Amino acid sequence: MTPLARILSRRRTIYLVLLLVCAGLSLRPVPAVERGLDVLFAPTRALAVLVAPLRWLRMPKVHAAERDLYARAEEGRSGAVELLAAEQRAALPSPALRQGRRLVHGEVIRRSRGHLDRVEVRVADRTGLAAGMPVVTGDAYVGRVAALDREDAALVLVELVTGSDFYVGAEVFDDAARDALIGRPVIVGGLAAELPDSEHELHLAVHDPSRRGARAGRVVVRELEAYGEAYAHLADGFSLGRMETVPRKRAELTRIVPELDFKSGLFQVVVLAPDEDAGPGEEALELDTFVAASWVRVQGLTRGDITPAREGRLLSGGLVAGVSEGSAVAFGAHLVGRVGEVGWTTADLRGLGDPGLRLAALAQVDGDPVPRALGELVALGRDRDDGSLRFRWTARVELEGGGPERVGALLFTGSGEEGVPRGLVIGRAELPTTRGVHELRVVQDPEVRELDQLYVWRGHGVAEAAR
Amino acid sequence: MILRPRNAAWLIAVVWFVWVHAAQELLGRHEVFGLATPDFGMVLFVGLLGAVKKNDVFPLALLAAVSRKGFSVDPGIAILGGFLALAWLAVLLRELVELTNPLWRAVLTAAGAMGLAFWLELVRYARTGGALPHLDPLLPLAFTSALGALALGGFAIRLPGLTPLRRRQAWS
Repeated sequence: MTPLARILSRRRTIYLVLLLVCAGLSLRPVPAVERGLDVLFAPTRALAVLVAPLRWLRMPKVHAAERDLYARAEEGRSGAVELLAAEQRAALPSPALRQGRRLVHGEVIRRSRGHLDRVEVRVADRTGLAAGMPVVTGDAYVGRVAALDREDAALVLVELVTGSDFYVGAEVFDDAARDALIGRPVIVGGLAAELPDSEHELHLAVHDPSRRGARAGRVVVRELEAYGEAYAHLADGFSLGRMETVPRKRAELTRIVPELDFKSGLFQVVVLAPDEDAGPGEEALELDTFVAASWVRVQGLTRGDITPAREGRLLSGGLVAGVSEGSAVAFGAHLVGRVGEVGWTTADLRGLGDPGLRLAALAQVDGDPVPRALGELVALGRDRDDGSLRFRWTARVELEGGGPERVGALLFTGSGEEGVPRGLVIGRAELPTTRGVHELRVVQDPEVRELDQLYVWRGHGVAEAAR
Repeated sequence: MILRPRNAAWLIAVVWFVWVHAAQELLGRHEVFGLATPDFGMVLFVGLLGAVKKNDVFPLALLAAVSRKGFSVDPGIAILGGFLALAWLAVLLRELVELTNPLWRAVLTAAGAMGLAFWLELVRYARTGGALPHLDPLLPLAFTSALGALALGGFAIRLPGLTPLRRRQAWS
């Protein structure tokens, strides 16, 4: 038999095909097959029980860490509650823009499936809210209520101004004419094309800008009450950002630099309703991050991951206990990681040092009472020398215009990531204040990695039902 | 019910793999070892690979993958694929090299440990993004795993309960 014939022999061919199937499914997972494989590998999750005696060796250290973090939990929680109250206050418009409007607080829960320009928002009170009502954060315009969720009475769907079929009337106020009462009219909506090497940036598109029209300046909403859009006028005066005109190939591109990170930095919003509605003037959301009923207690079955550079653990709770993929895992006020794969009785924990883990973060900059939405952080792993966490951060808005190059900050979880409640402590970091893609070094409390007893987030709905 | 010695040996092999992986995980958390923690699971796998019958290579890869999955958040299918690839490589190489030779065993263990770690990093990158995997941080792992194979690989088949898995004649 020739070597080629041997290789192509039936048994080897089957083996090779099996290998290729494994490789293909590893790199491009198919959900249905993954679920089947979960069942196949389910017994492996019980294997860690065989080595329980090894866990007992570290028990004194684990108990010390748990006691210490538990003692500091109350302090951390009250700090988070204060921070989040400040975040909600910062989401309110300035007094001049509150006139004639009822303000209803909302928290971005997640992006709608299949619609990147639509977010799901949990509001304090949905009474009197309707499609078409403007949504803002601070003095910045965000979008409009697209619909009220049919299944969840606390949710509204919000269409962002970044949507390709979204249009909003606006005025541009030239920098030279600061005192002008009427600006040049433009239509804004959707995203502008990005220049090469700046794909991480995000700018709003201006539709059919005239060559003789505005090229730069402050852009604010000015809607015409046409086509029966009863609530459009409520958005008048809210900012869309700054218009700029930049060279692009042989032409020019006029676009708007927004004040918000629409991609991942939208956490707290306010729905504007007409003042004549019966509700109170301002309705704030209650913070349910630290409601005990929102969490399920689990146990760490392993201490770490045997694959170098990964930071994972096996947890004792699974689907039966109400654990779901992507949920936050915490202890006291500290975030420990997020749930990875989930089996019936066990689940994987992906620690904050596990490369590829994604988080929405909020920063409390030293000396500044108003928290800042940082947007999404992507874990790059843990530095083996100093133990710090490395994250990639795409800053789409400046943190401190004209301030220092770097500022110290305490990082917390933000909103908009399904399964992760806001206000859990991530760690301390030095933040660059400029726009761009940065690598952050986050110092995590070392005791967070020693814990055995952990808590998995079950969702806002559970907390509301408990109340 | 009486367990046949070979079946009992497979069950004992599972226990050995689990304990070896647990010890590896424990060492990996220690500051001294870190990324240079030897892949003892791979040392045991390659050590047994050269000692078992040809027909036992596939079950051995399956067993090594299943026990490793109990200590890793990597997808089971990726771990299985990695061990199957290594077993396939060993079957191909057996006509050229003697896997019971300590040096060749060390070379295959180093390549296996580094290759598996890189493959799992690649799968992680394809699924969740983050940082692109690099080979150079895995060199200490390959080196210490090779040392581990040189020192301990020969004892793999002599571990209590595993001798019924030993082949009596050369692979055909």
